[in-house]
Amino acid sequence: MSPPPTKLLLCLPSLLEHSKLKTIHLIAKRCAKIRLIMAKLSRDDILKLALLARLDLTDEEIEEFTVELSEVLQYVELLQSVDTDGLKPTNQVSGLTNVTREDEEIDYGYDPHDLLKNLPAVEGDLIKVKRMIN
Amino acid sequence: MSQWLPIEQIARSVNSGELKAQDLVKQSLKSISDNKDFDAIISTLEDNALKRASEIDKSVATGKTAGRLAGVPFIAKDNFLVFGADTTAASNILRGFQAPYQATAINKLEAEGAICVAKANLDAFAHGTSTENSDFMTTKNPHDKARVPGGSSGGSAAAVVLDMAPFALGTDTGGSIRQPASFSGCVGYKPTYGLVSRSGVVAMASSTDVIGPLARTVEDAAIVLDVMSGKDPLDGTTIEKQDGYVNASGDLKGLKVGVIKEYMKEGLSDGVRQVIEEAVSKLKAGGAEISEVSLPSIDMALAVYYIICPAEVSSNLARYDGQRFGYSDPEATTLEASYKLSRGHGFGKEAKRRIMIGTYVLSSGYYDAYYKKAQIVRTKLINEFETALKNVDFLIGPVAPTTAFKIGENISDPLKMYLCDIMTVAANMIGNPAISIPAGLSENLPVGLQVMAGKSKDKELLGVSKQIEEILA
Repeated sequence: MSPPPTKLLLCLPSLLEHSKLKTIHLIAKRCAKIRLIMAKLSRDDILKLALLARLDLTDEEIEEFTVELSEVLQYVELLQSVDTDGLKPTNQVSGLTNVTREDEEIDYGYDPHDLLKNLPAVEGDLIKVKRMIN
Repeated sequence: MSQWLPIEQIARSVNSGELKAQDLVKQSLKSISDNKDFDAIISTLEDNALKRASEIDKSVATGKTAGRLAGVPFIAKDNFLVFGADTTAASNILRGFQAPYQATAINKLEAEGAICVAKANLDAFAHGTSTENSDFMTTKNPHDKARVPGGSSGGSAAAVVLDMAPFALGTDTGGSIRQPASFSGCVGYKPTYGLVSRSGVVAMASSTDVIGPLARTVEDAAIVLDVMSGKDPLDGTTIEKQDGYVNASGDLKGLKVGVIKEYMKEGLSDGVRQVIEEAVSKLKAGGAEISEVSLPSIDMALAVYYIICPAEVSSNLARYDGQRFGYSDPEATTLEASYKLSRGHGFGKEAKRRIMIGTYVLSSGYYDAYYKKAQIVRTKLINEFETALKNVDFLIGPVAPTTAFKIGENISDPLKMYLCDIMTVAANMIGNPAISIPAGLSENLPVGLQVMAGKSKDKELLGVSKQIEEILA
């Protein structure tokens, strides 16, 4: 079978109508099946990601994210159909490279006590954290 | 009719002593209080603003001038670090955060006499298209309270349209200035990437974040941009500004304007299509040479965006770890638990969603297939725009496929919400300037016309936008 048609994306704004959205989801899912990467996330995938991202999630969130994130990933997978032979990646669009400044001390006038004001826990002028090992 | 004169006139009158900065601040604060039920404002800086106004009035009384924005009140989106109020980014995790330093943009505006009176609502961390992702409240559309104002700079757009101040500041990572400007009915300007310093603004996706004004007219937006823009040692991605943003002129006659074919296809709502087609006819009648331009990969811009943006978000939001600032969960007994609980309980759902997507696309084994592929398609997009802009001077199209949607309509479906950005993200991915200009109403709801220009052609874009604004008025 051929890769997902670009036509699929050309009608994407119509997803704003819910009935059409469902149809597109079906098409997207069908297309996803024929591709190398199948972005169907399992509960374990979500738990692993949550661990990597240091996020404590509720059971409800885990369930929701399993469905929602799979949908989003299936959508972005449409990029696999784009021919990008010979092209290099773009990291940034400022056109600037190697922005440097003189290696000298600059006084920005920040008061360290203003910075400490926002700390959840301090001891003197130090950041206080919970114990690291059990 | 707006209660505010053009910005240039306000400043001139304050500098001549005809208008008092204190009265302008009071007028702004009253307007904010009168329109409280739209939930556009998170906090006001009443004391600071009145103090600054009184200083300006005193300085003028001694014969000094107070700058190009003397006494002009403005409202900053609540992701700008401003002295005198909390900076929350409309998130619970930053509730109570007090800026230890100010954003460069705010410093530059203050140096010319502008006065920040309030902080506007947004989707938390600027993640969204409706302000419904704010951890605090949803802003109402000034034209219909049952509808969203757009987002993420929805509070800023509503504030301008509700006449709370002559201008407001927004940030645009995937359309967050232009889309609310279109939904609420004001001018929203997204400058070339790097033109305004991002120092002191809560980071979202650093390779596409830009800062820009929302205002009643193109000229007001141009003055604000002129003051804010330029190189800043505190932001290594900033570029030199150019002369002539203010009073920029453009002539529509003989100008080559390309209508983006892909944006006018099926999926565009009938109402928006009608307003945009009428606008195109008016430009044609004004002497512009209109042609249809195809950018074949433009439909991929949203997919590129929803890989690159969450990737950068997951990295930028890593700093909220519950230790150095922001919410720290009181139940945690170990450092590891403190990270997880503070982030899990402190972040709203959309922030968590984007962190998770970003973590996935950047993770080992998936990086090449998602993140790298998106960066390569980004190159393809840049190439297509460069080619198109060799043949035409400007590109135009709608800002969004619909007018403002109802509150709650899209909230349960993240993908559907993401699709609201489909026509704005391309400009962010390529770094070019773009503007939303009020083009008319469809069933009493505003529709914005989007105009895009080549990179660093901000002066040219502002010039032609003034012509377009006049023709569409």
